[in-house]
Amino acid sequence: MLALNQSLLSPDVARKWMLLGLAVAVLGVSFLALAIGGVDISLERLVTILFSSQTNSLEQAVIWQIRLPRLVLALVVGAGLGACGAAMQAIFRNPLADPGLIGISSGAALGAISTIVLGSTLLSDFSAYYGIYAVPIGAFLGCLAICSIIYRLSSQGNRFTIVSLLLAGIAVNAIVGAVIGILTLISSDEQLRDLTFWSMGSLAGNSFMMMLPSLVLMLACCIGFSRLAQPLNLYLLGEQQAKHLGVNVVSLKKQVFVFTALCTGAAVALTGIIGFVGFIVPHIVRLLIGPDHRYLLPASMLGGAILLCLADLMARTLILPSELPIGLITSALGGPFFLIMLLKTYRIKEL
Amino acid sequence: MKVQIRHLFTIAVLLLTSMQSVKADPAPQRVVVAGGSITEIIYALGEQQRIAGVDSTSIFPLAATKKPQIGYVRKINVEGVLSLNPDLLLGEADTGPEKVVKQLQQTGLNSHIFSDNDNLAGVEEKIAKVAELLGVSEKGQTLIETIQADRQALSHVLKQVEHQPKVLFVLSLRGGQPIVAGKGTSADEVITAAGGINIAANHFNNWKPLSTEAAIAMNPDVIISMGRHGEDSTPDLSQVPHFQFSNAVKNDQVIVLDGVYLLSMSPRTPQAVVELATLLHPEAQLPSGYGFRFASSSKASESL
Repeated sequence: MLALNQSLLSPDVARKWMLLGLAVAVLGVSFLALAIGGVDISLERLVTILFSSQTNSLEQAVIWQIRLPRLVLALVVGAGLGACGAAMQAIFRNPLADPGLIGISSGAALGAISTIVLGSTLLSDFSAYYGIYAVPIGAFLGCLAICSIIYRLSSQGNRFTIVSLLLAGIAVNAIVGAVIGILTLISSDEQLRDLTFWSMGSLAGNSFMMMLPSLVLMLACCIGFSRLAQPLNLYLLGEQQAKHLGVNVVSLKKQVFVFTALCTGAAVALTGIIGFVGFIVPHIVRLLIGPDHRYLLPASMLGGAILLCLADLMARTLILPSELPIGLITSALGGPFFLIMLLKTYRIKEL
Repeated sequence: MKVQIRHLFTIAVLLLTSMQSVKADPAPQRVVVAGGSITEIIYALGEQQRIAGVDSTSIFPLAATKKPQIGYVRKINVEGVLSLNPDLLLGEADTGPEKVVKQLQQTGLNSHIFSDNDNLAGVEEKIAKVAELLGVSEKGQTLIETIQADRQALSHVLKQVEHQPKVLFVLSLRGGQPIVAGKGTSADEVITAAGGINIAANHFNNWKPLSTEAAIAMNPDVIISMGRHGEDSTPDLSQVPHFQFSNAVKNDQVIVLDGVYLLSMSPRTPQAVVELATLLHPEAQLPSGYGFRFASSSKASESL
């Protein structure tokens, strides 16, 4: 399923144009996201507000403090999730793989839910001390903890095979699921509602101050992924073949694991669980331009940014003055589109 | 003649605009509310024309649900609220997410988020605060005085009470398992205030699903269930094995009450507690001259 010459657009030139097109689309979507929202701001006003630093109006606050941080977060999280998905699918050599397999979603959920439920009782002053940072910190720590447990379990004796990783992931995810169930049971009504909304994802309410550490981490991981494109291409030929071609396979797998854990962890900590982006975007991109990671990785980042940005735009405008959870939109938007793409490729292959 | 009419019209318009500018006071005119009990208070004060938007827990009176919806109280969104062009945000203690509330305050929007969770004792205080924020303190005082009648009626009823029935409050039957009010819930507070014993409070905190055998062992004298907007769930409750053999079902003491009426900690709640007390203690007499003034279900809300 992941053969190297399998795509709708094959020649290199076409792929480069594709990347350029995606980059332009990102710019267009960003502009839309800044222009549209609950508070009406005309296009001229938007341009004036963006390029001059006077006036202390409500409109300026809306653009600079509300829409811009949200847009940046959507772009970076989308890019990060897209890249992680692409790399995970390459490492597992299976298009069904996603970052959840190595315990990220369940670990983050465990951390966030523990903070929500126990943050002011068992963990004494954790919630009070960190305030609005408590849940993101909890989620990130939980994610790192569970990922490192899975890493330890699957890398005994420096072997770190994909099968052991998969099995450890499944087992630990099941255990974490049970613990989350217990926490849900002892939570109060309000806590229950908090954690329900957390697990549906949202980009709302983050300021640049709050986002900065996560943004740096995610961008660093994206750069890290980009540098792995060539080894990943060789890895697709098979583990033995890659070894003979001079790729340090174990180190490659470890790097992908660490980057994915850090990047998705940083994203999930801020936004809650936004499923589907990391799974669907690399798929669509692969159908379009094939599995060459030199193009696949950047295209997945751009595609993820576009998908998440559009989804967030819809989430915050469709049922104004209220807001939809973004997880619902990514699935509702990505699912049908993905199916259409899939059917199309099958038809082409049959010809 | 035509010219004169035009002049008259101009003068009238000028007068109207000038009157408006004289009348304009600092009291907020476009209020966004997050929290059902605050909405209810504003309606009871007769200031509903100032509500620019409400959250999804504001379901009483029915007219409030026609106002623009800002979503669930724990999940409001910045631009949605701002798009209603509000000059005041009033919120329950659980208004959130916290970071969204912070962002809203940073844009310079006036806001008041109540710091304590609702309880029965705080109803008057809350009414006074809301009335003060809206600049109608006298109206608030009047409303508080009408509630005193409920407080007096309640103590009148409780004075005649000797026996305290064992009560169980059932929120819902989810998948055949009743969700029950334990210690620290609003239902627990209301039952205790009405002179009953919440037997579940001895066993757990908050709302919990109840096991069949624990329910049988508890053997409640009275079961209160939430009628969701007049829907009667009584037949269900007396059918489940949990309660089939309880005193409550045997003596036909399964009471259905509107949840918002009883638990919202709004101006109607003191009356609802009186009503509950008369149901728990049918032998007790209400003071002469006392009558129920508020509608007891969400359906009949127009009478407020």
